[in-house]
Amino acid sequence: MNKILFYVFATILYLTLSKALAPDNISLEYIKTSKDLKKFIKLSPATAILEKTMKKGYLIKTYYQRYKIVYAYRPPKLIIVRTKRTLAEKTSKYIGMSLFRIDEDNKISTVPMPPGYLFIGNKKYGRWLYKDKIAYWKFYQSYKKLPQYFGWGSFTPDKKFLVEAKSYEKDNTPFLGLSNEFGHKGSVTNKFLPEDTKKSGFRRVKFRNLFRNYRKMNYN
Amino acid sequence: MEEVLDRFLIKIIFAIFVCLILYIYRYIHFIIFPRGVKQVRSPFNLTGNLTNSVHYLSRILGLVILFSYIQFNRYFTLDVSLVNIFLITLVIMVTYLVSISIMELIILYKFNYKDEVLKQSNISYATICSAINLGLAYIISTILIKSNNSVMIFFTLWLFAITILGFAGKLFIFYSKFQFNRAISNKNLGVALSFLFFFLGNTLILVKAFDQPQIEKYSYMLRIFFKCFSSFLFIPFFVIAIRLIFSLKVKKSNSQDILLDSNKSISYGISEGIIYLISAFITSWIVYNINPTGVFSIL
Repeated sequence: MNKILFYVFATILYLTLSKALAPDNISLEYIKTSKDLKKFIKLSPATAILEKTMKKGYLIKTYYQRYKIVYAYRPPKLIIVRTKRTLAEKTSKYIGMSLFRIDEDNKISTVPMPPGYLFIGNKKYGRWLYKDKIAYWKFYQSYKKLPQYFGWGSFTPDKKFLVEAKSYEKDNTPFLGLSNEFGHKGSVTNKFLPEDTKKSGFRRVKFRNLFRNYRKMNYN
Repeated sequence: MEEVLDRFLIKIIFAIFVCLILYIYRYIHFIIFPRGVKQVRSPFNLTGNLTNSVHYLSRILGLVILFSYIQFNRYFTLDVSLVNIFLITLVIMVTYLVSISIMELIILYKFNYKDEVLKQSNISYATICSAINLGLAYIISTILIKSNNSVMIFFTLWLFAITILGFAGKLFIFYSKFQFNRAISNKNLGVALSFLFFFLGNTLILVKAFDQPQIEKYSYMLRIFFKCFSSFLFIPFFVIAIRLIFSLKVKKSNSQDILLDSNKSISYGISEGIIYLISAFITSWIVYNINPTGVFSIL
């Protein structure tokens, strides 16, 4: 009986210590909601763009997200965080979009919006250029790299885009773009998001291919 | 031909040098273990006391195992290489003997060399000492490789390993049916053989734990700690599983004889030890050969 008690105690101790001290766990921060991204952002204005949502584990899954934090005045930073399942699943359709924004007055917004929405229309960073009576947003030379950081590619927002986005944000509704340019099925996102965000670590192999591979490796 | 001769001559010089180091060992041993003055200074009679022979030769065997991991570096000149090796062997020799001393204090704290070996010829004690010597030799050689010539890392890892191994050695009382101290006092060879395999099993676990990429000292040591901890949780599971799968049992009528009858105790001790070693091997497979980090899949 004593041995069993000792074993149970040792198992609990192992799990507790692993949770608290194991290098694999302590290296990554945990976020419960998008608002928790605040602790990674030291300067404002800044926006956190969700690049990738991943899961790991066979039986018990752990969820991870990769964000690109884009600042106005410094180079972007990539972070990987652990998160809970509900948040991971809820936000998985907003890949390539801004899930957290903090403006110059430190006002925070977590409604999923197109990347760079925070900077569009702000005269500090750019201006409207008119072409065929339509106003397009153009960043100043100093901020010319921002569209690249946002993953816009050839996309240029116009005034209508901004007006629509603002009304969606007011209603607390995610905005995927005027013709669904952003999000996991978005045309712009799929075209310009980095390739490594689409790659899975898992090699999906069917049973019949597994045996075929063995045969090829050994007899061809 | 010149190259071949040169290499051959270096081997001869190196061989003589190793003999010199072994000769120095006799006197270092005398400094660290003053109780064994007789064993070290006077000519050793191999047929005089079997226990003493086992005890003495196992230490030399451990030391030689340890030396075999030291590299003769041909990038330096011959004299620099020899001085380099001399310094390394000296440090290792002292570390090895201090480790033995610490481990004996932890595991065999109720016994001492003079009483058990010289007076009582306790073969059980000598066998346990041999197990400790060999186990420590393997551990220190692994640390030597992992420390990449850094003295600080070497001593940090050495202290860490000794702590884990000492603690693991104390767990023998939970594993074995033998009453450890009493069985040694009764010169029971069964307990010694069981401990021999037990200690080698633990050594295997620890050596495997050290065998992982070393990026940062703190996280490396934490990883070793958790690997060893999880191994010690899995071993009892496999011990029970192996006994159940292969129906390995002791007849109820014989269960008391194990501690009294010398033949039965040897037989039981060996089986108990080998079962532990088998479990240690399977555990090392389970714990170390599963990719610990896993892979990410896109949600």
